[in-house]
Amino acid sequence: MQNVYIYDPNEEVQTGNGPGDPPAKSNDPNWLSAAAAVLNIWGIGTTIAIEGPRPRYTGPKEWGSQVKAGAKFGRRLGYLGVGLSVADMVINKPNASNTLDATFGVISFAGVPGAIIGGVYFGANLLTEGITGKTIGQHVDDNFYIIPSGMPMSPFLFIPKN
Amino acid sequence: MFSLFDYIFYRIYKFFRVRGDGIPETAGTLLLSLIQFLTVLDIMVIVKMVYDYPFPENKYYFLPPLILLGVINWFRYERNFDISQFDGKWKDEEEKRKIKNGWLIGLYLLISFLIPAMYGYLK
Repeated sequence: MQNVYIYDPNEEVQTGNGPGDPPAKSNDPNWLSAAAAVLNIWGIGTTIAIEGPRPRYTGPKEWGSQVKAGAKFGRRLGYLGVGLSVADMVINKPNASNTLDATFGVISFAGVPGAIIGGVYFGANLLTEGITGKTIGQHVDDNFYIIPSGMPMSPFLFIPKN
Repeated sequence: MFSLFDYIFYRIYKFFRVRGDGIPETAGTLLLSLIQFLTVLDIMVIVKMVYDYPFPENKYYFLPPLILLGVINWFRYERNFDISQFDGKWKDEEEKRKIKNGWLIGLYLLISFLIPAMYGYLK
């Protein structure tokens, strides 16, 4: 008789990092990943809107207020990122993950481009954590050695651990 | 106390305004909120060093206070933004005193960031 696999949501599944391995977290819908996806899409949309050409139907005044609103939103996300990463430093010690989060939070206070970059990073980080169970920085920490290069254009070198 | 917060907001606003930032009032509101949040976190850490108590184990427990501080400061400073009331108070501040206070604000932000970071590093 052919064996039929019956899905059991309570079954413990071995996880890993290789291709085809199941993710570290269950595949159940996660509010965090959903919220992060929305934020990320919004952030990318704002970036495209700001970096791309101005639509013909948008006047300069409306265009200016759209850019301003996008930058405000990004900067607010950057603020949340800094606050959460400092709290994380108390809980999990300073590491590549929370240092990276704090750095991008600080970048969000560097003008309009910085605000958008910080906002998109915050959204992408939540999305990554929601789906894989680890933040972008934790993935970097697990898989790379980070070495200061001393070169201004690429201040850090990422060397794979394996 | 509110006067101190008003002054910190005003100085941060001016700092970003002079450097051509498009939304200095948002920078002022958010950095003031960050200073307030870090002060609360510093107190929590210092109390924990003296008297050990269960510290929240998930960073997302700190999200509601962060949002709350941001909303309160948005209501106070950004909603009906009017810098003239602060200009009237501190526009003619003595230059020497202004520089000294600016450094103190920057130093306070740095120290309030370093206390939790150093505690996490050394624990």
